[in-house]
Amino acid sequence: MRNKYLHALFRTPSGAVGSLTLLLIIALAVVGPLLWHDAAQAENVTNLNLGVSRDHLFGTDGLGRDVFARTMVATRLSLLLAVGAAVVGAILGYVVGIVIAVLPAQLRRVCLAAVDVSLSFPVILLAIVFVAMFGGGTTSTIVAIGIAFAPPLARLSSNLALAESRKEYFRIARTLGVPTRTLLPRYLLANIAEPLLLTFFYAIGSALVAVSALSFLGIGVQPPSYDWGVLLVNGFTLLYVQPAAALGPAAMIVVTGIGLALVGEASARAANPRLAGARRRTAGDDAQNAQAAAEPTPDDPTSDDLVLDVRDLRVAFDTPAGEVVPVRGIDLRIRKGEVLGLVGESGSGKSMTALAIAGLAPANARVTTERCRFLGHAGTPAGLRSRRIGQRLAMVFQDPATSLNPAMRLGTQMTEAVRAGGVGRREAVERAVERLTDVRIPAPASRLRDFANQLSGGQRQRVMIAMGLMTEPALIVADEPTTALDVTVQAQVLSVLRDVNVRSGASVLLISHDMSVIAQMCSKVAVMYAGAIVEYGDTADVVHRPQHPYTRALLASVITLDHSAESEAPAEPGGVAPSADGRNRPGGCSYLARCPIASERCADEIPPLMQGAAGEVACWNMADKEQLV
Amino acid sequence: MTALEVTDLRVQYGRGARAVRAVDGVSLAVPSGGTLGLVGESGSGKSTVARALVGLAHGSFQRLVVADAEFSSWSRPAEARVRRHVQFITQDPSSAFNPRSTIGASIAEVLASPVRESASGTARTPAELLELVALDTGVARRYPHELSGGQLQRASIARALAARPSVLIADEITSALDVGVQAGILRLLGDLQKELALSIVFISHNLAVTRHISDQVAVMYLGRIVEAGDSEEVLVQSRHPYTRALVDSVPRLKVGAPLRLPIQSEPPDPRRPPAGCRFHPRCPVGPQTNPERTDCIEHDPGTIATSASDAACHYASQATRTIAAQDTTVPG
Amino acid sequence: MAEEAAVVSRPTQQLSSRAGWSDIKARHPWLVFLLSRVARLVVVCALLLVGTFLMVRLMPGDPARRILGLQATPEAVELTRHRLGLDRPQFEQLWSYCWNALHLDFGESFSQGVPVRELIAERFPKTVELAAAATMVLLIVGFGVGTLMAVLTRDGRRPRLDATYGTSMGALSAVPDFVLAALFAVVFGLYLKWFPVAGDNGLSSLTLPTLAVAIPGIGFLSRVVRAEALDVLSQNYVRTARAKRLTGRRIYIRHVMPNAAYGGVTLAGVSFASLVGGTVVVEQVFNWPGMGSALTSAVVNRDYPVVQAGVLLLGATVVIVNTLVDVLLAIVDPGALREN
Repeated sequence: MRNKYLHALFRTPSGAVGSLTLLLIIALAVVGPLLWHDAAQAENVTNLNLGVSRDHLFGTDGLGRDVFARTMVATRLSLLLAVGAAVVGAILGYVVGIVIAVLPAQLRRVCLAAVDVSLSFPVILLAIVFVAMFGGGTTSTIVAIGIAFAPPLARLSSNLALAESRKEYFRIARTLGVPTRTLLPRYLLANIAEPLLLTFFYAIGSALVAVSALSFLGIGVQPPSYDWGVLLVNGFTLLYVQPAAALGPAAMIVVTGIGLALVGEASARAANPRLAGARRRTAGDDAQNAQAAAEPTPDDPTSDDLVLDVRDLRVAFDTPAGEVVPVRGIDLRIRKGEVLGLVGESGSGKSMTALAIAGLAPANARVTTERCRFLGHAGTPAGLRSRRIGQRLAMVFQDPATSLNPAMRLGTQMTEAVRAGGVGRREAVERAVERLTDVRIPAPASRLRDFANQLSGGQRQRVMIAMGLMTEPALIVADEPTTALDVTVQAQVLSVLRDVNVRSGASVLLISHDMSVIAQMCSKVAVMYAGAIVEYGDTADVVHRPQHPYTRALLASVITLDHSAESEAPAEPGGVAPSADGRNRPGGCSYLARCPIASERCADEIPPLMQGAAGEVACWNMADKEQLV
Repeated sequence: MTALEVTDLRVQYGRGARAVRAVDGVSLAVPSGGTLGLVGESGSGKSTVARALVGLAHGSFQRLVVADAEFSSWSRPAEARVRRHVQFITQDPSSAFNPRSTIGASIAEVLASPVRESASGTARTPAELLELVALDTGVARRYPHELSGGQLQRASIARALAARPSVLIADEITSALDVGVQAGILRLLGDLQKELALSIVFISHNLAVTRHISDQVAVMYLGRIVEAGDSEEVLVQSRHPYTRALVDSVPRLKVGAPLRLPIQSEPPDPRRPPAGCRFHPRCPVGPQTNPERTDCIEHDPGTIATSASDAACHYASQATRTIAAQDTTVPG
Repeated sequence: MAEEAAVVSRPTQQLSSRAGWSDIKARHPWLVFLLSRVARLVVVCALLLVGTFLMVRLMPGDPARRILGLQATPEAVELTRHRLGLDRPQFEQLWSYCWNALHLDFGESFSQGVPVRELIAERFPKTVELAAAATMVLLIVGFGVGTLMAVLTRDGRRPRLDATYGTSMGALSAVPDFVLAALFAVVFGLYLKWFPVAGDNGLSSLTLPTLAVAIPGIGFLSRVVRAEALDVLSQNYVRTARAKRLTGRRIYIRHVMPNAAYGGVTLAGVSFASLVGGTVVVEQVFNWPGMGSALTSAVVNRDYPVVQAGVLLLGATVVIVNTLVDVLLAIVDPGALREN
């Protein structure tokens, strides 16, 4: 843990600068009063209000004392006050917050409401109130600011503790009989300690500002004691005579504050893995567009029948750990009106394939194709110049709940694409009503005024389909459209999709992990494994006479209603699927490690898709050959 | 012989108009050494039943029997008894482990728990438990995020077994996993059941998987059990039209089979369950298609216990035949 | 059949249809929401009243003695006690304090001898002026910069700009408002002589205090807005909008901005509290004749009626503004209202 932080602090230039600044300030706080005490106290009536000189870097004050020396000496008190106030605030806030979190629900609600109320007051105002009560001075400044800081820290710690105690693993640990004395330190505190420590760090910075502000207002530290705030306000009265007396202490406050902020930022980055690995964008988009432009655009007469023709599609990402290639060169051809199924395990690259085809791959993905034609036009649909042609590809995503904009009426969402294309408002609305009727949404006209959260899951998915239909698509790419739905609702959505395919003639690319959904819906099916298609053919052939060992394992592991408990236990593909990154990847067939019929050749050569008895198979030892021997 | 039995279990979330009776009078009995499957759509309350049985949801009941000890309300002794005999495995294994502890440490703290000292059966070390679920013993030193979903689910089974339970409640434990991995977990569960004489409550939305693993099946709809019985009987010769509809909605691994659409509408708002039979607005043999069947609107057929082979439907005996005749199919 | 009757348990009773509170709640979510916010506002203001009352009473020592100093005669102390009503029962004092406060009557200022009400009438509008100007600058610049940075650095684009921005905004929010105020006074007031350094001479003297109050908040708000906008950009519905081939401009204006603004405004409410805190300090620097400078000098002079009035008014302002933000958010996003 410590090493992780230290490493992170010095890895970035800002973190290193911040840490060094802080170390310097702390050193000053230790040695400052020892070195400059006498100089800071020495009054000299002949040197009143002097300007900047070699002897007096920040000039002198109204009593002829050296302001630089006083500023250095004040480092200790300023830091002590800031840390002291932060400690008081943190102890008070964290203890109260965690206690609130473990109170019974009713009492907790009351306490949290009280914290919220105090939270809505300006911290400095609260501090002023407490100073007014306790009177000025060093101790009361610490206490006042500490108390004023407590509410936000209490709210934070109770939020964190509550969230932690609601985590599934916390609850399960209770049912497992893990005692409270283990739960508190090892589950609750261990998981919230990091954010609490970070916040404490930020609190020191804010406390420094607050303490200085109180002193600046003349109600914090009282003479003859002095911190930077006192020096600042003293200098401020001399602003016209010699500004350095104010700017010196001001600079110290700012430098310390920035040092704390930089270190805080760097530690937060170290604590948050999402921030730590900075995302990098590659030139993927540009390469893709450049390629689209380079290819000749005239229509290809031979591909009349093909809606989509993709050759050698590759999607790659550069990560700190090396190149990751989720899609490694696949061909897809979808004919007019065809329903093509793309089936595979999670991590097989099937969803990335869909996103790449639709031009929606993440910005840092490198998408390349040898050839890509959509409706006879070159380039990916996203890369196509004409928006009208690009819109003829519609997407239906897995999660209908998050795929619709929660803050926009369904009518606006459905019509905006065609409206942007020049269709009039009335016509667009009429078309939307028509499409909603097509997907069997009851009372479609009144639905247009609704928001997504007023629909059920199945309705949302049907609205997604209707929305895609607005632009008269030639191809609907449906990525696991029913995975999040119940079986009865799944049947409804699938039947709507089938309807749309039959009536409008739009082709469908149906992506699913569920072989039985594919079997019911698709005329052709492509089986994907580790970023490549391993078998492609008519659905009947692939389902009833699978030739690739992976397809066979996949089919055997499907449990259907016709499988009774008495029948043979379903098979499980052995071993672990290779990860998408290049590590531990065998040189030959990617299925090698799990394959029951592998031969020597499989270890050396990657099998391409070859013509099998029916359809295409990427296997050196495909079923039919095996039977022939 | 029953390992776990509950009568008239009720769980309510919220109050007033927003109250949801997630579980509304469920009675179930888990046969000793057998498996009870609990199926239903999302929102049917099946997961709430599981959570209430292990005390994660606050429920009330008339009678709870855990390993021959009977309780009439949720009390400390009842809780202790449940902790000792009943264990719970959840759907998403990645959220089931403390991210700051190794798998080994998470298992060890269950073994060290004071409740376990009086438990029956053989005490096992973390390594033995991991072997039991066919995991490499090196997994003990790994952190949860370093394991795959299937491995984590095996590890959470191992951790549950560390508590030496007699009843295992498995809540959708394979629905987040790939089919291949799912098959492996199911086989493991079957093997463990035989080896350790476990009784299992298997909760799933997947009828095929439930039929595959369960001896008895109960079908839930809007917080109630509407049909129960031997799994073959319930899922092959369903008597309740809802069960029939569920069975018919499941896609078959048969190319060119017609797409069946037994129900056109979606589940109603559980906060306002329909009057009479809760299924009547969606029922393919109810008043929607047979206007003379007004008793479906007026009379509530109630809920049934899993111990009975029955269906909570006014027309249960005729349901099977009627649906077969009216099967709605979509031209494919 | 008899057997069936035995196992089929009795159906639960239907929910009674009496029109209760919960029924109203379901039918008029708007009304209930407004009522609950107003009720909360009233409770908080009542707490504020009690708090400011207790503030003076809970102080160690006798308030009259603290006002008059140690050398005052017992008679003078007794007189002051009576004048302040300190000799009456505590509850009666609280009641009359609240009653008077609701009529904006806070008694007489100890140090200036004028009714506090007059002081407020003179000072409070000045603070409102400053706070309103600073809020405008804060919102416009904060949202503008935040959104611009989100667009420029989305998907990890321009990593160098991203890092520079993050560091400089972090540094900016580390500069306290009073230091900024002092700096502005020196640079723009003394050397460049662009703006007056003190007092109130219309717009030109409002400029520096406004900037000094707004700028620390801008560092915070623009980063929040940027984070919100980036978060929205990664949402599935933005992917849907891209799948519809909408222009980038439309995606930002119609899909990203409204959703990012929601989160931004939530936090703008929070930063308003610190903004009001900022005015207290900044007013002192620029000698701005507002509530804040009156409050600080009152604390120094132990002028408790003014302290009470100042804390009460500034606190109430923050609470009222936060309530308005809540209502505004509910109007922007009616979906959230239904969910809660």
